[in-house]
Amino acid sequence: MTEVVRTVAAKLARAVVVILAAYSASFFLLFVLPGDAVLARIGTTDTIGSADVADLDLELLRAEVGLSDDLWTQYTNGITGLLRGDLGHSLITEQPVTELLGEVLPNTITLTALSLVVSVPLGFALAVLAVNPRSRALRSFASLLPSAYVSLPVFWVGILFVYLFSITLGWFPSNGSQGVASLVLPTAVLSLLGAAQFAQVLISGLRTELGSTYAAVTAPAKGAGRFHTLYRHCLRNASFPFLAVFGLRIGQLLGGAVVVEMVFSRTGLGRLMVDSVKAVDLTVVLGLVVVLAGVYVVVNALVDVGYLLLDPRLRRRNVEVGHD
Amino acid sequence: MTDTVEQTLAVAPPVVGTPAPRRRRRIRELHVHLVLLALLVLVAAVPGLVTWHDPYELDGLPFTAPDGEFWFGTDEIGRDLYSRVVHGLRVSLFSALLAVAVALVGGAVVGVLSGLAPGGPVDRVLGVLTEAVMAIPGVLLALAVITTYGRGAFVAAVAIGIGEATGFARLIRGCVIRAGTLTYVEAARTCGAGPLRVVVRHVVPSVYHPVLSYTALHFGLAMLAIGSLSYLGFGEAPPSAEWGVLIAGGQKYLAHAWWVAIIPGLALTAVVVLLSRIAYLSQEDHS
Amino acid sequence: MTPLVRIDGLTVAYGHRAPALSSVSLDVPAGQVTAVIGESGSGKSTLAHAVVRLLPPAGRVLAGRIELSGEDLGGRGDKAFRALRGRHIGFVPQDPIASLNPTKTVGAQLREAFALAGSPLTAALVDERLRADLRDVGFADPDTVLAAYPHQLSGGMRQRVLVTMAFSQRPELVIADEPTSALDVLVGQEVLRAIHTARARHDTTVVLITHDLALARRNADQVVVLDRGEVVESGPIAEVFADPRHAYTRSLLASSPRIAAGRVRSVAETYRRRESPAGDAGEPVIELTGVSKRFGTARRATLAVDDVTLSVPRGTTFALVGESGSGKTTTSRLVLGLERPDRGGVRVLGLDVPTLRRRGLRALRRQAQIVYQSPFESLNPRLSLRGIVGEPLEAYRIGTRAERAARVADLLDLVRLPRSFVDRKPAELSGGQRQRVAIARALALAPKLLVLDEPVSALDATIQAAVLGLLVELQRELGLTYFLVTHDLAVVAEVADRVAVMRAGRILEQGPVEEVILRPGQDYTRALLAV
Repeated sequence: MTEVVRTVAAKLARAVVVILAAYSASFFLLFVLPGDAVLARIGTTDTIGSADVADLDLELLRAEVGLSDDLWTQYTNGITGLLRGDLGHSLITEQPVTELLGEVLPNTITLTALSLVVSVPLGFALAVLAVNPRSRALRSFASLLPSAYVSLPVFWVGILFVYLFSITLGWFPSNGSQGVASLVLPTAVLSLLGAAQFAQVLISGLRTELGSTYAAVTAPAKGAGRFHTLYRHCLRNASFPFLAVFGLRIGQLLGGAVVVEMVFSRTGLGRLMVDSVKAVDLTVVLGLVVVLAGVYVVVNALVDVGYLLLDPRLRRRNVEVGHD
Repeated sequence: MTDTVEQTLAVAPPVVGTPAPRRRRRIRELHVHLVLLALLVLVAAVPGLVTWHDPYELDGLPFTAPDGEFWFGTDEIGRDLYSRVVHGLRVSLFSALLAVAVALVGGAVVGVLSGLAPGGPVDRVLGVLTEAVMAIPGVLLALAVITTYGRGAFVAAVAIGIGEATGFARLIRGCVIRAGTLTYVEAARTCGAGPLRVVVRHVVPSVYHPVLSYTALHFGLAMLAIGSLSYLGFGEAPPSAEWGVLIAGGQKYLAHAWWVAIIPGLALTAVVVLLSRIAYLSQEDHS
Repeated sequence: MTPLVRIDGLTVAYGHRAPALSSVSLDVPAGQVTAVIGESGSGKSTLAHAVVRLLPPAGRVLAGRIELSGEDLGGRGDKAFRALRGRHIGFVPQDPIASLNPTKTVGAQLREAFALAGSPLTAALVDERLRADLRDVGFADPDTVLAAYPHQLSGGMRQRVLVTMAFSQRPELVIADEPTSALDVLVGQEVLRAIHTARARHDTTVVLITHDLALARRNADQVVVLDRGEVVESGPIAEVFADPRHAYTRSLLASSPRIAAGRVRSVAETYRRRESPAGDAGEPVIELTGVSKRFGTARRATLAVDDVTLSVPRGTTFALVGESGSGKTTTSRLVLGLERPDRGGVRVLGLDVPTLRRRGLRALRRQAQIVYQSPFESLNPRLSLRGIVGEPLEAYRIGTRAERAARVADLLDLVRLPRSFVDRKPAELSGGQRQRVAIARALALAPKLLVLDEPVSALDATIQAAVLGLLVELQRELGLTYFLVTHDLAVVAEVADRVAVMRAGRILEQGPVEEVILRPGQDYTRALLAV
């Protein structure tokens, strides 16, 4: 058991290192390279428009937002803030970033979590359909569907759904974040994406397992049917590679959520991100990036630990078996 | 050390490839797809070859439904949508090409460096860095880059490329490590072949197929990602005919002119499907 | 006696290729062991899988009938056939590593056989019977085995678990498909003993599929010889082996090194008559003194090579014999500087190998080359023979392009391959031809020493004999020194001058081959010889 504890500790330590590295990389990207965020802000934001730069006191502006300190001080302040759970203040509205995040995060988390709840069983169902039925046509249809769906632009699928289910059929609202009905279309778009990605991994996993000797020879030689072999042996073993990929796909799903929120004009992380980028609100962008990286890293660390606990192959290697 | 491998090899039957007729059919299909891709590149380079309306001129009435004159209909101010889609291909295709090039070069540098000494200090530092970049969803990473460098197709492409580079790095690292354990690579070394010779003659050809296939797949994914950024308003600006821009512009008029948003999306999907098909076919095509 | 299984005119093909089995007919007498022997590609595994109707997806039975106890099995639908498996026909697969579900305990997988067969036994009774069965196949502590996951057991243990599984429902027939070919010889013997115990106790008919003639001779009552999908000979084993009627059986018997092991005495006689090797003069080609090599981390290190001392005179063949994990391959890699020793001295051709850096190693490998075990892995599949055999010449920048081409042609002559093969790729060659290519490559630089790492163990018996013959001829023609690594004492008896027996990193005994083989000083060597 100590081995498990040690491995878990190592995973968590790495998770912390990765989050710090993600923060540092984004900080470097956002604060060091451009030279002067205030100028960038004046140059691109629509709020100030075409105001004459000469009229503004740049130094004063910089001092206001804490950009006049040298970079190292900003960086260390950022890191210590991060460790305390403080992500700084918005350069535009001066609200604390954590507060801004707190307002939008519940919406995004609801959407993502709901999509996951739908997409995992859907992915499994598709994968089983792709390997099990006798009908060859059904199998190839089910195995083609996922790879076709991941080739679709997610924002366009959103628009298509709006056209079909909102404009033409009038079943669900096309936008907004009020009420359960407004969740249906975004969840559908996102969970289909998740299901397609999960199914792709599961299908290849199931094919590998079904082709290996224990499933192709040993189990049937005992009298097991195809159904029994699939459910009692292969599905479980194919879930392990699925689990490994599950963590990696979380990032893509969150990215997809950002886009889907924009398609359906929902308040959430996506809207905040887009607005902050347009306004060159560096601290908010940095905060968002770090929080999402954190979610990703934590989910992956949990997946790794779960893997360790669930997969007997990773347990102790040899047992002493006496024989004469 | 090799003794365990020895055992399994001793009983492994000789490698039986895909039956010849099936392989031939696959190669033929791959060639057909590659020709299609080449045609697309040609059209992207010289869109005037297949269009007869100017993509920026108001040649028709607003919201003309698709007909014999305007194959894809017209948009809100009467521009020919077909001609706009064809002209938009160039930006989409070449941005994605740039993104994939950035990802491939970046990924190859990182992957080879870390794969040469797996577990070494370089590998560990690059590993944490790769994971850190992977932790940030691609769209967000791209948005962060755009925050500092401003919007535009070029910036969006490079930004997407940086995010995609992590996957290439992992793939190439794995390939390099695997190549190091291949018996025929060791055999070449014991024959006196120098490092450069081993890499050029033995390692690169062995990683060529998986990397090529991965590149084709991510070419398509990069098109989707760039489309997303344009849709969000961070790629090309209107009146550009980039597909993400077309879809975003058409969304407002969905209720009475579905084609303005839906048809460019179909075009995007078709190209991505073509690319992922090429990826699939070239992956199975072992020599 | 009526046969338990009668096969009549069975024809099986994969896809659109030529049939793997064509019109095969044979009888399996009840209560006996019938061996089906043949080399790879003879269709023997196809036969085994066809009887249990577990052919790979592309496999199709085109004609013929299979009877079990007089019933035509072709009359059964898939579902009715399934009822036969386990209850009436047991199956022991070839590869014990992949044949158990890695994520279920051994106990769960054994109990599953009872559940699937609809056994009326209660859980407690099932466990009791499993414990007894596991004891029968040599497990002293069955409860630990039942609770273990497959990866916690060795290959031999897993195969004995699979034997237990096949016999668990007391079927009339058990088919064992190459049950020992993935295992070391001594471990394989335990598995065969397990099959024998189980079959004797339950009076089961066994069909033993194997490529190993010695194994067939010791274990079977009847034999069926398959060659390229056709039965060429069958009958009681003593008769067939004493008086083979078909030319193929005769060549099989003549070429099998294992059978040759049975004739070790006469082989040793020829050694005595043979003049002693020209070596002994001057410095030995290889000299290892007190060499040790450790692998793994500080916490979990294994001593792969432990205080090994040996010396190889010029122009002779030194054989290092041991089972997998004995450290023999690591020792051979130390000789070529592919690994560095932790302790001890390695002198090869006058060079102090551990101190060599890049240029020194290049100089060493100019004179010392290696032939790897598997010609399927050691040749780059993308290069033609021209590129493969010519590679050392190009790497050492020897000669002009034309001279190199001429040298490649000469080398192909030397290993008895047609010159026209130079544009072929490895995939277009058979296993034996590929190994000849590997030998040609190793000879390209005209080295003085060849390290042969299990050079024939990946090949069929008839091809083994041919490749070994080639190696012996080349040694005589070119005055080569061989350092041979093998698990097969029969190969040693055929080609070696001196032999060392290695186990767990240590050399147990060494000496001239006739002494070690005729008067083994160690129990372990005797056990290896007895196989």
